[in-house]
Amino acid sequence: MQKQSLSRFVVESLEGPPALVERLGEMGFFPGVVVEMGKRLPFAGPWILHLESTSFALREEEIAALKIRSL
Amino acid sequence: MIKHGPCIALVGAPNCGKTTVFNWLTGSRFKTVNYPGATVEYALGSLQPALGSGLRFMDTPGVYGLNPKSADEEVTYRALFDRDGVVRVDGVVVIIDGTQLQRHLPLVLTVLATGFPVMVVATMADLLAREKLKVDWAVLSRDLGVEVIPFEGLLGGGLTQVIAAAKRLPPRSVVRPPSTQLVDYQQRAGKLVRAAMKDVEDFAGKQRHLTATTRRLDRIFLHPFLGLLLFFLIMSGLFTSIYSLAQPLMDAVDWFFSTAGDTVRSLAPEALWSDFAARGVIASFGAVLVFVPQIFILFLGIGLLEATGYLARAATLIDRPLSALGLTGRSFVPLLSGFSCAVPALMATRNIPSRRDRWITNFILPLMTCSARLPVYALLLSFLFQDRPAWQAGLALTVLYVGAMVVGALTASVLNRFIAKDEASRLLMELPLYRRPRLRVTVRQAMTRTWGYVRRAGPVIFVIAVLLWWGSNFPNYDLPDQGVKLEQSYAGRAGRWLEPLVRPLGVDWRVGVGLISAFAAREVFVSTLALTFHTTNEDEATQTQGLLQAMKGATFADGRPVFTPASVVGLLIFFMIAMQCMSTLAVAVRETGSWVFAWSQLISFNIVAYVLAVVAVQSLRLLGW
Repeated sequence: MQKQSLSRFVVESLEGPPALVERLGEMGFFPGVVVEMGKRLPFAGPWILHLESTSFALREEEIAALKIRSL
Repeated sequence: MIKHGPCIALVGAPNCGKTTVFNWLTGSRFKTVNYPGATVEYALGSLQPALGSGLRFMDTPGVYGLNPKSADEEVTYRALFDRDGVVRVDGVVVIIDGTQLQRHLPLVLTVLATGFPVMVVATMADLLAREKLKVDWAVLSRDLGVEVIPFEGLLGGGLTQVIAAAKRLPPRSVVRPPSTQLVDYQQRAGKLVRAAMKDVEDFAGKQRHLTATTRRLDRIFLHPFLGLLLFFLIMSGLFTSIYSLAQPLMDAVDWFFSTAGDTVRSLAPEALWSDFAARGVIASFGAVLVFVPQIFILFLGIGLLEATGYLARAATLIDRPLSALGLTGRSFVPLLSGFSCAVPALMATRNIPSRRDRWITNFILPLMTCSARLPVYALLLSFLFQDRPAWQAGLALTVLYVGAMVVGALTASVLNRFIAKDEASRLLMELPLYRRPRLRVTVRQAMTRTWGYVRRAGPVIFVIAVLLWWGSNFPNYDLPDQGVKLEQSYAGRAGRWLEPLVRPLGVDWRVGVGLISAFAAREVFVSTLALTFHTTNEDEATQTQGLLQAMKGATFADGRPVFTPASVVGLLIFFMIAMQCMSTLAVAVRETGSWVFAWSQLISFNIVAYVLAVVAVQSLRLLGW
């Protein structure tokens, strides 16, 4: 993952373990939504990202399930 | 038993304001109901009398969907769909966050597909008004085919409309769990939101404004260095508040019960009944209640942090360190709660989706220094540092706390090696908007939780304390010499029988009796010592003072003191690690569904505690302490 602060991306698809994909979907991450990437916590910690008016903390392997395209 | 009227379940995502709505509807008066034969518990309350009657409400754990992925979500699912549940759900109010329509509407659609009579309550109406986000609720209601009521949680605006709509819900017929693809709902949600918000100008700008303060605060609280520093400061603040706030309260409770006991005793100094009333009943109540201030303050502190939204950030910050132990940030809040009491903490692990993470967290939970250990630590540290400056005792206490966490971390990493990771081990943490906590509600919640603790553990402790009084006073109640009477009592005999085991710890059978009693509940240790060591010297202000005096003078038959630095350190180590609490054992069995778990926890911790304590005592003795 590139270290960029506050860039906007569109989620194109979700790929990964079915339970993870379903949970991400239920939380609001599905094709077409716009996410803003925040920073990553130190020592390979979780990533902060923003969706609508909520922020989320996702681990590397969780974010990897989001296939995104920059806006 | 609450019986009147149809039962409406409140269903919604975590952080949507569901429990706030529940509290408004029920006036925060509710019962926690147990699902037969399982670990399920949910809150059931009637519509509060000032608002009407004839309706009951059920609060359910937050869910993101109706396909359960954690024990918590399982509760909601079963509450809705199980045939032989405790209560039949007649209708559902889906609570959605009005500022998160796109994300929350799919849940509404999912619930609609089940066949339940549904209505929707959209919270955060005050935020929407402030940002001038004019949502056309009528359009949304029409498109969904159900009533949608906006609600504002600070002052309860919209409450009467919510109740009126709930009363208009049709009777329920057949319901079935949902089966459609989530993606269809997501697309439909998008269309619904666009229709309802077509009059909103500059939605993106308004949303940015809505989140502006939170983002600014997160730059500090989630800052790589500042964030962690603040985390440690906040956590230290939380714990030190215990000593500045709770200790005086605990002393007051101690003084009150001592005085009450002495007063009763003086009414009839020689009578059996006054001895029983004073040293049996009143002292036992004191044993239960002395640590309540501590538990309450921690619940309050944690409750406030949770209400502001900070705890989600704390869990995020601690996720990387916890992952080194094989856990996730989701274990943080239960472990933190364990510092108050392991019983609710064990229940708080229900929202950890990974079974194996939950298991490990439950296993190490009793190592978190719970409130019941404080009276024991306080007594032993007072003894150890009696002629030393107070800060040294404070430092020692900190060492005990940190030491317990280190042991917990070590245990977790060992277990981590042996138990394979499951793929459900995830963080996926939602970070809600920061908000000002509502003090009255949080205080009331802390009181409810504290009371729940007293109700659960209180009777156990009380019964044990009374049994101890009886066991240490009989069969030779009338012997004038307290010491001989104690030796010949049932408790004394049990203590002597155990003496070979406690000798390596550097103490005698009187402490042994204390340790046995502590196996049922730690806090009873102090009152037991008061029984086994306390002379009839009543002129100390509190029981503790009297006990400390007695401990100073306690000797073995050959004149060596029982309480030396070595033996006290041994006791401290033992209490730090040993698992001694019947309530925790019982809840552990219930929560994990396994006697094997609870017993292996009990046995392994106690053996390790014993061995480490013996090693410490013998080593310190060699050094001349």
